Amino acid sequence: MSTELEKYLNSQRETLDVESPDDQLIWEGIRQDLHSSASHRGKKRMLIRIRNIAAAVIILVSVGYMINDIFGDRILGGGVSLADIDGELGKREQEYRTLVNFKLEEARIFNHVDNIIIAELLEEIQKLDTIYEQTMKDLAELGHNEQVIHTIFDTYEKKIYLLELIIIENNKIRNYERDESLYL
Amino acid sequence: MYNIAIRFLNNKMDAEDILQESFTTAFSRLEELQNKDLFGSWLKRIVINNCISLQRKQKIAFEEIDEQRHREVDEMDEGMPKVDPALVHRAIKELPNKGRTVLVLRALEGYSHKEIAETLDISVSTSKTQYSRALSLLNKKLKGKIDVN
Repeated sequence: MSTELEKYLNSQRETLDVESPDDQLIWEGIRQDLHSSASHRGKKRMLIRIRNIAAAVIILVSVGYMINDIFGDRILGGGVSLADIDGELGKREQEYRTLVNFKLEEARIFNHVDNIIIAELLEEIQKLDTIYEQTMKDLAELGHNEQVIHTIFDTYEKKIYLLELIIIENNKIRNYERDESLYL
Repeated sequence: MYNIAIRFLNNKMDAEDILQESFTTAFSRLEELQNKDLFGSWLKRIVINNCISLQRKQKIAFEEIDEQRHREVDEMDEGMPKVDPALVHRAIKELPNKGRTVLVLRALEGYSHKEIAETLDISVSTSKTQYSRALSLLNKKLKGKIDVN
């Protein structure tokens, strides 16, 4: 027979996830783990392939975001990629993509689009996506160009930073709503 | 995933380590996963297994308990008051290791007692006992926290 407490735990399962890990630290660790184990086994190619699949899976898992229209495929898909120019750069780009997808997944969970700060942050991301698209065109035209490559990574870093801000803002709203509904 | 790990282990660093290890395992064994749509639940299973494995290393034994002694659940017949989920999360983390593991598996992760028994290598009755005790203790803790606040 289930008690009220069991019913509560069952129905409130998602809201109990109140803690956040140090994402940056964990992803850096995962990156190093994958890198070291792969080189240890001499399977560098396999590693890149795994990462590609992993990124693709994360995208699949992340379907249904409300922010999908904004983030869409712009930064994830595309014709020319850095991997076409240089394998190492391609690897680095893949890591950024994985991190972006991880942040997107986190931002999706409790997203508050009606919040003015989040709306502004989304707008900024939209601008970044436009810059990214333009930079990718430049890359296709110019090939290996330091400034273009720098801009691409800079765009990823700024996007990750903005997503972090959205996550923080979401958490703030969530905590506020929780306090509001609290009866003690 | 992180919250699952921290509820099992009640330690930030251990939980982060487990998360990292689980993602690395999942990514490096991704080819074994037939249906990529199941990545989330597959990863969750890896996280849970790694948590249990770490608990074993930390020598948290899930010893057998006399079945007769487990009839101590305080039913909250009066209904659950609205409680801050953060308080519940914290109260779960404060439960003794063994009971907490069973409670998390049963109440939050939807394992049956049979599955718990197989996973933790204990009998079904021990799983029920641990669960019942943990639930009772959580109930008391929450009542205490609500009263205090």
